[in-house]
Amino acid sequence: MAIRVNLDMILLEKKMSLTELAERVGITLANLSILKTGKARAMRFTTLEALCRELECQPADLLIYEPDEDEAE
Amino acid sequence: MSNPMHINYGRALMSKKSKDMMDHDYDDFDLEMDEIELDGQPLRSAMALDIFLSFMSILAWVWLALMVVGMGIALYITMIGMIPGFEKLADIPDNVITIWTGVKVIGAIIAILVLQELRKISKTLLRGDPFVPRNASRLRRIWMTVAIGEAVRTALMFMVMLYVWKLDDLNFANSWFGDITGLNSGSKEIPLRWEVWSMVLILIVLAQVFRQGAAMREQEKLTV
Repeated sequence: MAIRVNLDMILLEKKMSLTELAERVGITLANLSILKTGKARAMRFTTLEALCRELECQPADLLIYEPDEDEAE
Repeated sequence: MSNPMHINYGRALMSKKSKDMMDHDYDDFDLEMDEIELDGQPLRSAMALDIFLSFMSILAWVWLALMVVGMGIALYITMIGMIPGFEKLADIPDNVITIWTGVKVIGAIIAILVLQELRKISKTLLRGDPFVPRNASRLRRIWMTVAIGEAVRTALMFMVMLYVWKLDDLNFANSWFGDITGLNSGSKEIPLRWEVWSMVLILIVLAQVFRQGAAMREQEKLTV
């Protein structure tokens, strides 16, 4: 996937753990992990909205486009 | 909330991770789709279906046992000699009765195989997530089993028919055997059962539909 969800950086900035975010956003940890590890194929607008609300950021801060071939991450 | 399906970790995943890792990263864990447990109340109808299928498979095993015994009797009469109490069978040609009991045994085996697959599908229904690729292949296995079994049955019954047709002096008209095998009708037809073959057709279509549905569900699982 050339689209990456930049959760790590933002979580570090906000000093928030993944578990905490999961609780706040109301998404299960499993689903959040799917998002974070780049396994997700799609993301609902409601999820994006909840993430932006809790992390106080814009969608552009969360989503990163990396046009490289290796999908190591 | 945005997420209609509440997904939590399967026990297998939990055991892989030590408790102190819980608050940190989940970077390196591999998500196995089959290990995701959905918690939702299984439907009452699904539970009833599961119980019913278990009951039916017990019946199928009993049926198989009876049919194997029947085939044993038929073979005994054919190879060794008449068993007292079975004189009624004397007016039926030996190989006909052997083949016929063989058909019954095959029928019981097919019933057991199909019921096994149905029970596995029923288990996924109980889990609350039946749209998995495995169920699609189970449906495919069911129609293949039914089709192969029916083809073998048709071939064997056709052998019986051919044998009976050659014997002009053989009269099943007043025999119980003629009744239960349908040989009494007298018409010379290949014993095709259209109801079975149309069921196979329906199952083929359903299996294809199910495969696409399961693929869509897989996509949906990766939508957060």
